[in-house]
Amino acid sequence: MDELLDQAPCGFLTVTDNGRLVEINTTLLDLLGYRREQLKDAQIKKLFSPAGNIFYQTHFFPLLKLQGKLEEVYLSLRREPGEEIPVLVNAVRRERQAAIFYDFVLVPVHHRNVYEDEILKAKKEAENANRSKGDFLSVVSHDLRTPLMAIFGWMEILKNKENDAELVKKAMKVIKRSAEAQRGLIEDVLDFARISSGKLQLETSRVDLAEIIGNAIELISSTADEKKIGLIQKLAPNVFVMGDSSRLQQVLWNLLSNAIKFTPNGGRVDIHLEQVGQTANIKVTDTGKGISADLLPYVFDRFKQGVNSKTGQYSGLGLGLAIARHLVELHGGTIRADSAGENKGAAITVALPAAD
Amino acid sequence: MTENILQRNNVKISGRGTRNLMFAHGFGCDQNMWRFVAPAFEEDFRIILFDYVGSGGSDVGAYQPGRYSNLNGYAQDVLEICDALDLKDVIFVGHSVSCMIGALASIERPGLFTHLIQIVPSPCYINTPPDYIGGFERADIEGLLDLMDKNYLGWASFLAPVVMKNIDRPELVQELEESFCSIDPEISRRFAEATFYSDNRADLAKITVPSLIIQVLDDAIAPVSVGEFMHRAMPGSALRLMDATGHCPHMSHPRETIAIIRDYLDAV
Repeated sequence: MDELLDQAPCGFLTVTDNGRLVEINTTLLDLLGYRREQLKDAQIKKLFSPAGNIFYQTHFFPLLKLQGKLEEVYLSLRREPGEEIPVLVNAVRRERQAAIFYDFVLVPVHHRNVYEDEILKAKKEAENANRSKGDFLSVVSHDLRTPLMAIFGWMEILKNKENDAELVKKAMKVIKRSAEAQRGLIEDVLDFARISSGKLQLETSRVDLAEIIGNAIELISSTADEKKIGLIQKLAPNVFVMGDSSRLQQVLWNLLSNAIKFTPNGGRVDIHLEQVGQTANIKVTDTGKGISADLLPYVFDRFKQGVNSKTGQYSGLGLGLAIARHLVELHGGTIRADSAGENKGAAITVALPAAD
Repeated sequence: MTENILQRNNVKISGRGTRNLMFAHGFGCDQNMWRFVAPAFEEDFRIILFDYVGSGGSDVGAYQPGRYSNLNGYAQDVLEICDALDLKDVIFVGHSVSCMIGALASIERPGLFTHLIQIVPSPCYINTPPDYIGGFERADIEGLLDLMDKNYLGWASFLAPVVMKNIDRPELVQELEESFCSIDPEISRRFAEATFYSDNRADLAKITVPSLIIQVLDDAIAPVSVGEFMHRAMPGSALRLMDATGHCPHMSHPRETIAIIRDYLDAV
């Protein structure tokens, strides 16, 4: 090997058809931390990380063999003892002295590697977000249509003037409930759009949390009664925060309605309020279906719900907890979910800065 | 239906013989990898070459994530190709992951195959010490998936604009597409997961079709001990060690590979 190639600012090597190293330049030896005699007659696999080796054997070598030339392939080398070096490789087949050889040029890409990792991460996040949006639109179109269909169905029934009073009463009840459900879904979507665009403004004042919780319980109590779910309150008095009372009530309503939705008939939901130092803690605990360990880190992400409403068991857009998290964070607080696992209940804890 | 299957898997038939010799490529490549071996058998055999869905010239639109989430889906493709061609007494030659795919197909339909020839097979690539050394840790496979992501990302960003500009030059587009043997990074990734996370050790004892296991002395992916493990677990199997290196002896040492296959077929 001439001196120019030996000292070139990139790695260079030559292998035979069966992967035996016949040439390697000093630049590459230095990069890998080998002495020349350590690699005498060695196999090229000795230079690669395990992952690099698989990629070389399954992609690189077959393609090089078939095409005679490869460019800009990303591989990872292994520097003793175990450090990996990302490289871009160009390779070409050459015939010399009636034998086939493959010449490789290898360029380390440390900085580019970090940059590409970031691009890949962003690409995957964008793909996931896009998939979530697609799922969300599918759920929205389904869930918005469901209450409408109930309304239209009962309106058709009401056209019949011979309906008895009991049936009319039932129809009105279902129509009212369906309209309310739809209003709730639309409000969730609008709220989320406001939050996403940063347009949601808080109207803050000194808020009595026990009063807010009491209001939320009053709104949700009929739903809890229908499922015979006990709502147990343990509310410390005189716990105040600076916040938007209607938005805090929305948070509480979301947490309570979620707890009731995922708790089977005859279960129990506990609401605790206490002040510890300068923090007001609200904890909603239920005896419901719980949250699996793999879902737990994502419960406050938008569009996540234990069971897709499209498949049936639980309706909703999966926006409630995401909205709750955003509202709590807008108040300078934190929200946390805990669960011992599926069918073992769940607890959501909201911590807000207390006001005097 | 028949035509769909043959198109789906880009099936190519050649040869002047009557005995059916089916070649199945490994992960990362396509039927072109048999270019140095298959022609040697054309005089005496009917040669069947194909691409798995997602590889080479297969119909990517036929890819079903559920079906191909494990090797059984690929084994179903092998069986469907055989049925579509009304093949009987098939000699199945698999490379790498295709060895287990062929084995699974033979377990489901043992009467369809007369012999399995397995070139550098592995029933499980992950180490489960102390009893079994497959060659890799799970982290190594995750590293492979990262490498694939990066290469396919670069390749896709390069390919897309070229394809768009040369839509009227299909030969150029095809050449580019062949520069990586799968045109869909997601499919390749899932094939890698199905290949390297599979554990088919328990299936080995169910293989009743006589088999030849060809292992190389210095295989960069499947250690010799894996071939020996398979030989012990597979009743009616023979083991041949090739004095070769790498993981593609049919490409790096085609003459020896041809000779070993021919010897085996002549003897049986």
